[in-house]
Amino acid sequence: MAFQPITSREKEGGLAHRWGLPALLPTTAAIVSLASLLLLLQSSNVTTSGYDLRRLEAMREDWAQSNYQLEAEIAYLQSLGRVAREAKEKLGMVPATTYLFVTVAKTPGAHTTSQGLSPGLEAESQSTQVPPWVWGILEKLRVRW
Amino acid sequence: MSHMERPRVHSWRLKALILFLMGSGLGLTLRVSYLQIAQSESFRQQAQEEHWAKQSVLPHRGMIRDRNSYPLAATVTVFNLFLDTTTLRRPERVAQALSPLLERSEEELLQLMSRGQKEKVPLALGISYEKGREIQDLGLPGVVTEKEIKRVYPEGNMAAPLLGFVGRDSIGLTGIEADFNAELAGRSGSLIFERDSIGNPIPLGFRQLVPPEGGADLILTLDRYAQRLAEWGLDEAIKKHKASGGTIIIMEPRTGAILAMASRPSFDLTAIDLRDASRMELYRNRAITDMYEPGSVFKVVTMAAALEERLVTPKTTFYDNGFVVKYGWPIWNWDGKANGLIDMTEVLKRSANVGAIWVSDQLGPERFYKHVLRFGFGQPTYISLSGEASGQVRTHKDQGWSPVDLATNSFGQGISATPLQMITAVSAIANGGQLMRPYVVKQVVGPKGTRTYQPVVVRRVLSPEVAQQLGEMMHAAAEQGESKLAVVPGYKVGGKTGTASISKEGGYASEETIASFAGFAPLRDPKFAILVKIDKPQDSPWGSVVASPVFSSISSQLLIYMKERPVEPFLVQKRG
Repeated sequence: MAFQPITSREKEGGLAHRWGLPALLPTTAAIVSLASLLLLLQSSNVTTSGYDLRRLEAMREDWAQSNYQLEAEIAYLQSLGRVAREAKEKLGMVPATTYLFVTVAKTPGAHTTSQGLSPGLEAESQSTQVPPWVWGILEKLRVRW
Repeated sequence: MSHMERPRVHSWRLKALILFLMGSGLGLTLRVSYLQIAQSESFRQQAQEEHWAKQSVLPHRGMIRDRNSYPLAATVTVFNLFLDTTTLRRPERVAQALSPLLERSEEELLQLMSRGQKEKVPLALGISYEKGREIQDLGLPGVVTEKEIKRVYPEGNMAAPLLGFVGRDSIGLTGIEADFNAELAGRSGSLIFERDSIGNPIPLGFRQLVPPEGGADLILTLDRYAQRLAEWGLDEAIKKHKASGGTIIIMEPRTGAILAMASRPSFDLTAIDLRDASRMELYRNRAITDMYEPGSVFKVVTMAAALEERLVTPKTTFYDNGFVVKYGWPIWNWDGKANGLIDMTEVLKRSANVGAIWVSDQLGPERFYKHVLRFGFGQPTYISLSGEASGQVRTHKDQGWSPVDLATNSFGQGISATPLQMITAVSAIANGGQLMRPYVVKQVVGPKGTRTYQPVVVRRVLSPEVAQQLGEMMHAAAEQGESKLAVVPGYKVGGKTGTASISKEGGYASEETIASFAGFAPLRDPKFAILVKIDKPQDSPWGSVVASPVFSSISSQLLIYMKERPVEPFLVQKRG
């Protein structure tokens, strides 16, 4: 069949005729489906994030509680009662009755602890603090008392 | 009649029906209007309440630590496991799943499940958080898990009356737990969420969490080792002398910080039963609530007053013939002996009642009571712990006072004081004459920062020279007097014994005493002051026999702990 030119009538209603409802429907359906899919993906994302958030919050709470439990366990392990029990029962130690005090000459530049106080019972006034790096140097020089 | 003409039938039944229908319609309309308009707010609120839920999120309670940050009280979350027999399904499977986690046999668990009770049957209480979560995640039908916040005590019942305890809702009820509850408790958070008709949270619904603010940690002035020494010493003395109880307080004289505060009888912090009224008296902190007549320990206050007024010196002498008659009442020395010509130091060494009366006579009531009140007697110390007693001092201005009171008060009878007041007064002598306010909380370490409590000087009660003089006299009393058992080898200490009668209605109990010793060490720059008070010892009534050795034992260990250098003759070796 020879090529037949498009008539004016066909031109006028051509597009409408060519791009009519049957052509629009699948396009619209495709666009709507795509939009729905995007919406679905987004809400799914939100849902997943929501669940993730709950899960992470629960995990954080679990870790926090675990920390508190461990702190309490450490405190128990460090307790005086337990240390004394372990010393007596496992190591066979007994309370000291005689204390040996030895005086040594203080060499120039040597560091001594705060006068007369245990580490926990510090003097109200600030005692001079020797920085750790000085201790390191003294160790290396092997300062002899 | 034609078909065009219809008969007119006036049926009253039809009219009645129409009226009825119209009335019903109107009634329904009115009812709907009432419900939808008049009651709308109420229903809207009801729907709101059913739809929205608000839960309180409990904060984590802060720890109580000693001065070196060792925890004395901590908080953990535990699970309580219950069985709801109405929703229980397949008990064998449930028992099989729970048996390894609860470390109980399946038969035992099945037996519990078969009890058939409607209410919750406890399966296990106080399970660790980790295990509880594991059981929760199993989702076993009929198994109900409930969280509970629990206070734990790593050092056991150490300082129980001082620390106090919390109730089931984690609110402090006694002691430091109650007095500092606002700091320890923190602030609750809240969780607002949408819920369905049966109360479950809607997964995708609105949810708003305001996180809780955790409680602050309290750092006490207590040293756990000093506290342990005090409690051991107290327990040993009570057992040895079959006493009814006692108190030991160790204070840092320079600052007023309490290093140890021990009382007996005490209680188990993990076994509190508030329904048992007979146990209520155990929960008080006797170091601050109980008053007693200090006895001869009080002579140091009488002597301090006279020295400060420059009426006597340590070498001032008087003649002690063993007794004195005051307004018709004879008063004897404790041993009935006449000491002859003695000085003021000897008065303390021999604990001569007659000497104390002589000194109070020199002072007169005005000056005597002025100094007694300045030393803090008759008023609370304001240590920030509730329940503190003021003590009782009846001065010459009070009704019922008689001149005999001046005599008896001079050696500590007829005056009531708490153990805390007594040690605070002795600490003032030890630190050079400043009355310090005792305190037990050093720092509050919270999420918003740290608050540190500083020592507070209440007033100067003695000049430094008088304090030093009195210290030397107390040293002589401790080491050469009748309280030789207070001696600490290698160290110089100062102290005074006390043996006080216990007052009762109409007089004093004839056989019972309170044996005490108050002292400090080392003599130069004292690091601690100790009061030992033993109630109603059975084998010996004397402070020199019952309380002095306790002071010596605690002091010797504390001085080693504090790395205090002993005096020269006790150093074993010298090198270098």
